[in-house]
Amino acid sequence: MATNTVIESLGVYFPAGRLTTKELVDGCRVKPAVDIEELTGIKERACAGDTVNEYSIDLAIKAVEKCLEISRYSAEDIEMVICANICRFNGPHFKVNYEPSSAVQLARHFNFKNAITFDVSNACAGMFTAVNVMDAFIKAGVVKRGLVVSGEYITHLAINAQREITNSVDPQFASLTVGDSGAAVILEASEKPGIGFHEMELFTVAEHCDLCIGKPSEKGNEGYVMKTDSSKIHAIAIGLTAEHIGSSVKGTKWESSTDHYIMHQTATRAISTTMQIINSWTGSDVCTMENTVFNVARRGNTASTAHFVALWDHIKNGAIRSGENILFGVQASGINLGVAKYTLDDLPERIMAVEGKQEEERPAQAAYA
Amino acid sequence: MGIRIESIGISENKGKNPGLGTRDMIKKAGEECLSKSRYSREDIGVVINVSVYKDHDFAEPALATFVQNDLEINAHKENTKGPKTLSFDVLNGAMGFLNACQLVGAMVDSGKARAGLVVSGDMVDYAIHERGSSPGFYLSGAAMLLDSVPDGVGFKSFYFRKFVELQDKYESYIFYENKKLSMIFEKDPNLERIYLNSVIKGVTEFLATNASSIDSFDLIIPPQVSPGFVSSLTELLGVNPEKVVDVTKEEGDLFNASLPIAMARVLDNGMASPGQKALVINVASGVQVGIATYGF
Repeated sequence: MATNTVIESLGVYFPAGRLTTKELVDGCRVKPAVDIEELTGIKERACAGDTVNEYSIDLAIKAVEKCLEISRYSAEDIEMVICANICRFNGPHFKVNYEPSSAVQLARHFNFKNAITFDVSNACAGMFTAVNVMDAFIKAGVVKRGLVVSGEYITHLAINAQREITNSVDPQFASLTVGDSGAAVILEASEKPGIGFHEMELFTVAEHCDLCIGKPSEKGNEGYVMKTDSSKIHAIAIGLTAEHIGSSVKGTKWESSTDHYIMHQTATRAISTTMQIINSWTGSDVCTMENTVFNVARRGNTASTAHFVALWDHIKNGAIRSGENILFGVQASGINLGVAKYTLDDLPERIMAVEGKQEEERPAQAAYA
Repeated sequence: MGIRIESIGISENKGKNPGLGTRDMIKKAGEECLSKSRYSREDIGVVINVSVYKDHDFAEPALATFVQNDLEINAHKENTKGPKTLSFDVLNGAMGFLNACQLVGAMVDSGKARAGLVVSGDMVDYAIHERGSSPGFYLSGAAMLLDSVPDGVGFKSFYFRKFVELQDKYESYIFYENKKLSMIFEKDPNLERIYLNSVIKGVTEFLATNASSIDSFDLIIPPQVSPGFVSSLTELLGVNPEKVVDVTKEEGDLFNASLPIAMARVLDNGMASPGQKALVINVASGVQVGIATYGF
């Protein structure tokens, strides 16, 4: 019997550094024309880098450690490892590893001796692309289970944006929204019907591939910069996402039974606009402030890890529970779009059994509502 | 099911040509590959770039998205209806092409795609200061269109073996020094010997696991690292040199283009008959050895 792919374990890690949006904006040579904190809902984000001596590979390692702690499996049970961060900033002076791949480095660190290893790169869709790939390998019977991981150290984009922004509508303003984190999931074929990923479709609207580019600074600053045509990319991505999600749920049980919508976590206004257009498309209030996750206030946009960071935070604060239905909306430069429908097993309980019920701040979802 | 090479396109440059960029090389190879294929652009559900090194050194978006756009593969969408393509990069040193071949097979067998295009065009950005033992790539673009077919044709029995204790024998990275971006290649002077030893161990394990012998293969398709590497490997494997596909270049390592250029030589020159079988061997940083069989 064909079974769905299920998230057997999830681990997330945040570096110790903190940076507020106010600090970032105050440090800009030229201030933005809009109130970034009001527009995005981002108050602060975790930061890796020189000050805490943690980089992309370290964030990935810490996330995998947590993921393995929660999992019933050990490293030797993992048959595939896919590392999906955008950049491999693995050391001081913006050291970016090309070879060997991050997945191979993780294989040595954790002794993933039985795993096929490679990296996938696909901007903010990296982790979901890797989940889609792992789902294919599991369904094709090539592997029984595998690990997808990403360590995103990207806040240096914000530091260079502070230095390089030259006007109030500069293409580097989106760089002020990013945050750092690591996330890891173990995926395997479900033994139970009705849980796991029911549908997953990702695709690339490549005619817009040049709307967001991350590359080395051309102004003599160390590190990378990200230049985004924010208004155009949002208009295209939100419109197509709304249609994709709308057509995916309309007339199905998911129209009424989706407990949580987790979009790509860029900014509160972008997420709420997406909600409104989805509702217009379906002609009903499928997305509400209660069922749509806003997780940017303390995290920022953590790129490829954003969906799994949001899932982790909302499991830990009790908002997402075992047995619930989640619709993930994927948006990334490329432009990559996607929808994944997922029903949780008892993962939240297993996470909480390890992590313990922590008294968290109220989630951004509720605060924004 | 086997993962079949349905068509191949190659855009070899005559020597280093700094005027031709990564996207140019891949586009030329991709157009040739598509022109030879029975599939239309609409049929291609996945585009994968495996180039590790590229000009302009951008990290986002994936180079594959540019390739999808350059080759006009379902790149324009007014809505979400109709055929779609997912594009992304698979990065794993020189192992990328073999990883991607297996990946496309999984995508097709799981119903996520009908066919997939894998491309490479490795080159070090000439604007970046190179230091250390440069890989000396032979510049070329390569494209391979793959699907999944029954009846023993195509790739089967993928086997990947890592020797992580040798990971430090080769590392490449960029970093900033006095605000200048530098690319470093830290390569053990005996790297080719280390690769050869790893390949022999990997092949021995593969043959034992599959209860097979090296003599049962009609062709051997090795990694095209250098002429000396292929001749040494031929000797170590103890096979007839006429069985070994050698498309190495004095100018440098074919790197990710090894497999497509060697396969193009086999298919274009009629070196294999239907029913014959090749042993495909690859080696990459890590140290990783990848092996698969290919049925013609």
